[in-house]
Amino acid sequence: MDLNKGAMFNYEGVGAAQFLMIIPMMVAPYLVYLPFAMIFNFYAGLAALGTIGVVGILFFNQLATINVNRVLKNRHEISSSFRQEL
Amino acid sequence: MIKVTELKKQYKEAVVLDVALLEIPKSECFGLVGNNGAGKTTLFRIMLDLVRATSGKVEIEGKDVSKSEDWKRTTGAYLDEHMLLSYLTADEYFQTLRKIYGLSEADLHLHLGRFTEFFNDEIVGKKKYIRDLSKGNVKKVGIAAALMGNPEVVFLDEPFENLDPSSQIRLKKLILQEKETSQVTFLISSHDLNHVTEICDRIVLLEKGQIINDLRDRSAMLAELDAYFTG
Repeated sequence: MDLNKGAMFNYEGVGAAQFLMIIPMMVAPYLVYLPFAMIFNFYAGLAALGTIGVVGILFFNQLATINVNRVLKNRHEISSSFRQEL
Repeated sequence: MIKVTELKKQYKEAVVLDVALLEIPKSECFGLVGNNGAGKTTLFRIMLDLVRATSGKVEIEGKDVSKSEDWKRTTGAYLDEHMLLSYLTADEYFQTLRKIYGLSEADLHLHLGRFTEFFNDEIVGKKKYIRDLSKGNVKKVGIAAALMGNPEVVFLDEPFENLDPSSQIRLKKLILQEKETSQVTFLISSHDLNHVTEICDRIVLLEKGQIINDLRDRSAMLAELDAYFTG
């Protein structure tokens, strides 16, 4: 990858995977919203979505620890790919 | 105090490192020499928990490096350019480290001030990415970064390589000064026998992953190493 290239219209590293990643990000909120909105009403759906957001903020530290532990567990693989041995 | 016990690294059948016992007391300047492929860098990488050891363990101040994180606060290292963030300029990189170590602007300024002569006006204040610097200047950035945050132990792999002669002498002075004032333990691997014998109190000779000589007598070091390397 040429890091010195400008950012404008630079599509290096942009593949199908990047577009596929958009799908769960767009669909997941609806999965929370729709059941509540269908059974109760519009506001119940929004409240459910809001609750999940608040829970996420409250448990931020615990959730972050999961990722920190994952990085620590894979540290040898990460450092070896940093050295570009793979 | 660093202690290496029964350390072994094996890639399938090939044993690349086999160290029964190695103890490095505090504020010692420890030199590691050996031909290419002797296992110097592998030993350093395992000591820094960058590579998994097949068996055995490394302890820094009584703590197993592969099981704890605390030692990382007091250990500095520069093994290769992959340890830097090459997409930043040197200034941005030092700022990033300053935030990680929780230092103030004044601390950083003081720290970099010690390297003024060593940097030779080619590093600080330049708008050049680390990846575009020359090999010697990349090394200088790495060494200054390794010494940041008042480490107790510093690992340097081939610090003299790619440096011009005056920078080599300045680096030697810097290392001796750090050792004198802050009691830093230095672990240095090098091919340059003259430099390494000049600054190190002790030199370990590695061959095919095994320690074959442990020299402590400064006056006889160079002669013994010369005899080994000329074969």
